[in-house]
Amino acid sequence: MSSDGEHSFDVLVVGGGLAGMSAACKLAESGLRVHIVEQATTLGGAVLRRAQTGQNPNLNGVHESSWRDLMARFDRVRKLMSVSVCSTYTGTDSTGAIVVTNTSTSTSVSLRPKAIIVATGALEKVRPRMGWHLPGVMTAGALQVLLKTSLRAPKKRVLLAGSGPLLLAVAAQLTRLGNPPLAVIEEARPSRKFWHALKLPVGYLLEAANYIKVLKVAGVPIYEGRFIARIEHCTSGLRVSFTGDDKLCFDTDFLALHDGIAKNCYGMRPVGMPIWHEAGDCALGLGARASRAHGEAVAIEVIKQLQVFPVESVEMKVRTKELLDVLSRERAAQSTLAKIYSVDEQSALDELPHEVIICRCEKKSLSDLFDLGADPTNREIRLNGRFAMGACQGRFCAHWINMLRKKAGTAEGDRLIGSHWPIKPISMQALIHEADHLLSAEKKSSD
Amino acid sequence: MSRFFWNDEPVGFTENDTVATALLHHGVSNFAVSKDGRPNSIFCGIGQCQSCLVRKENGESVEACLCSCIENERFYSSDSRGDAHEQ
Repeated sequence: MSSDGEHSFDVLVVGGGLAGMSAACKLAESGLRVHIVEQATTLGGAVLRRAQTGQNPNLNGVHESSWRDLMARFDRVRKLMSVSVCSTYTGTDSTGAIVVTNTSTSTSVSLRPKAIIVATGALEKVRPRMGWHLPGVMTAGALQVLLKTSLRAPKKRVLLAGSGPLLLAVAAQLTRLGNPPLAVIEEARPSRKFWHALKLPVGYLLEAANYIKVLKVAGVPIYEGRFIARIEHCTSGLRVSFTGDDKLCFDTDFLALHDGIAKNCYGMRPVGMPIWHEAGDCALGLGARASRAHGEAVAIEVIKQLQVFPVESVEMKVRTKELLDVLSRERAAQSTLAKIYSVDEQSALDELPHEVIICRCEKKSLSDLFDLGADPTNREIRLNGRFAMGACQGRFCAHWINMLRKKAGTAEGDRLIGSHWPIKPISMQALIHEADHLLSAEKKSSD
Repeated sequence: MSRFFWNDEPVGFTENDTVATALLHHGVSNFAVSKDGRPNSIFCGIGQCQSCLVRKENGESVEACLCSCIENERFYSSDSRGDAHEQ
């Protein structure tokens, strides 16, 4: 059993988004005590991010009822739950203790739960483009979180580009908050593949139709089959020029980019941790609906492993089957979406000018990568090239570097990033705090 | 409206703002200076890219996208070229 101040608990859930909350509710409903750590100031995660005051401007659309349902369940089992906000999973030390850091107080605690469920959410994929490192360029997901948290749209010009249905969602949310974007510029040609869309669950189609309607009414232009040629500074902000004969070009204050979502497996699976699971988008990258189901399925697995009940109930078996069905339906839906929004990323990468920044943290360019030789090893790329060595630990460059290397026929595997903790930078003070605490506890017990 | 200080200049915020949203609404989009001297700003918005790190008065770096605003708190743009927060 773990103790965290006055709380003691059985299972640690990292991440208070859809998957984490869904898992936590299921665990507590079986009588397990659960501790949730959430890096933001409120529960909800990227999909259901709330304003700190709890207000919700109805930006979450179809996912809102999912949230209400989870919160109602959460309230019913509240006495078995403890929540730490502004807290991150830092890593697992050599003794198997989980180190959790509170970033607002710069303090760490080490915990020894019976099981841990990591539900840290997806990574947003953004392909490098000429000028993507300039201030004013952010991910579409970042813009969406800004809108959901602050409940106000920046009173500035916004352009959305890249690929995927999130661009339409964010454009519609901006419009609803009174600042329609200049345009949505999609690389794929989804309207030419509408027959694929007929295979999507009806909820997906209604959601998309709703977004498109909002954009049409507001007169927001939607382009297809256009790629960003370059992003540069201009007197009034950013100038974004696109491929095509008509020299399509926009001057904007903000540019939101999106190229889909990916799994986010930058945590680490510690040796010797008895029960460790990854749940939701960090493991699957299949979106909100799948994350909620997966959170619950993983919780059932933990309940079985901890032998909360002497035998697996029929009810539990039936529920697991239902959840697996949801997951396979969502997997099919996401693969249909991938067909509708298919983009030849390899060609887009190969056409990048050599001065484009690949590593955003250390501002290393494509030519810096090529300077390392024809087929550099992982160590050479990291230690000589300084790629995947910055504060983001390769989350935003490693995938693209591996794609660029594949072209060169690399002999190295694609393990450019390892598993090191802390999984993100924390202050020394936060670590020292816990080390002091542990040392004094050790001293006390030996006295 | 409440306020905090950005490089000693007052910035208004609402109770729903993070440091990042307050700065963007205030018209500040350069949050830091990166290793090569180019400015950094908010990018991923969910604490993964570390691009929006700003410096608190006690020298610690925090992600502006995750950090709540506190009345009269002082934040500074971090300068990773010289690790200003360690000097």
